[in-house]
Amino acid sequence: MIRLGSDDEIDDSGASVGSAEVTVDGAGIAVIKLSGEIDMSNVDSLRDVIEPVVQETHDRVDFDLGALAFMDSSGIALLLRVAAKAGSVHLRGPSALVRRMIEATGLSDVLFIDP
Amino acid sequence: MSKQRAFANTPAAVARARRFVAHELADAPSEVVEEIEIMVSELATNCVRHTVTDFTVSVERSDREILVEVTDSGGGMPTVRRPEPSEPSGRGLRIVQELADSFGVRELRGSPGKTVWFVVGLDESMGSASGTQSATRDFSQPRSRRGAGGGSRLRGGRPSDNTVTPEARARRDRRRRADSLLRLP
Repeated sequence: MIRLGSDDEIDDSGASVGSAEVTVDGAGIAVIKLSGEIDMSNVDSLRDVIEPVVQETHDRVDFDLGALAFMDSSGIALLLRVAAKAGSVHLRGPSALVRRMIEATGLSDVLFIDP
Repeated sequence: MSKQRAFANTPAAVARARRFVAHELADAPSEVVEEIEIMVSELATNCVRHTVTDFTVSVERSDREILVEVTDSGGGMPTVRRPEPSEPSGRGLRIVQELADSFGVRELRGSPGKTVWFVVGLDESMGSASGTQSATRDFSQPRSRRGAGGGSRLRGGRPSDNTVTPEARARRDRRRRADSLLRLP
């Protein structure tokens, strides 16, 4: 397991605190578990650590969003950047609001929401 | 109740703006507050990305609705866009359009800048916990002016407006004009 980001409650820069954990499941799918908050203040740093992992691996990347406390369209941008590199991106456990944002922006065919 | 706060033009202000509105709406239904936090985050992000000056966020609540306004002094008007999946960004206002019962933009008078506002209705069963605040202003507007081209949904019925104060009417009229400023692709 690769652990990225930080769980510190206080970030000296004032950036929101989010983290990503990358595992590979039994089927060879890279699973990236996001937690905390994602907005414009920390999305670039999350992207910098997630993208290399995606590039060196897998056709399919799953994001586990079940522990994510907050995400706005900056988070959607992160998912789309990964989708542009991976074969496909699936979302596990998105909140009703995240699901609604993805459907409203017409991205259900790019960011697949697992039942 | 109306509260306003100014925020510096930094990425960290996006989360601070969210926390500000969440704090001010602590007794509102959590699902409504969560929607509002996303919308505030989108509008604050636009301020930080596209302007260089401070921005202000105001929250005003009546028994029936919550009005949030985000004001900056940058030029240009925000637009609802529908970017292709290959384009990572540009969805903020589309999300506001989806989550708000109505929203709009108005230009500031006499100085550069604009206010982007949105309204979220409160179901009548979830009215203000402090029901004694009968003096709160009604800033409602007709649902027929909602949003910019549909997409958002009705939430509850439209109560009659026979108690609207002149001030509230003026605000509503300003918003009606502001709606016409929204440009669609």
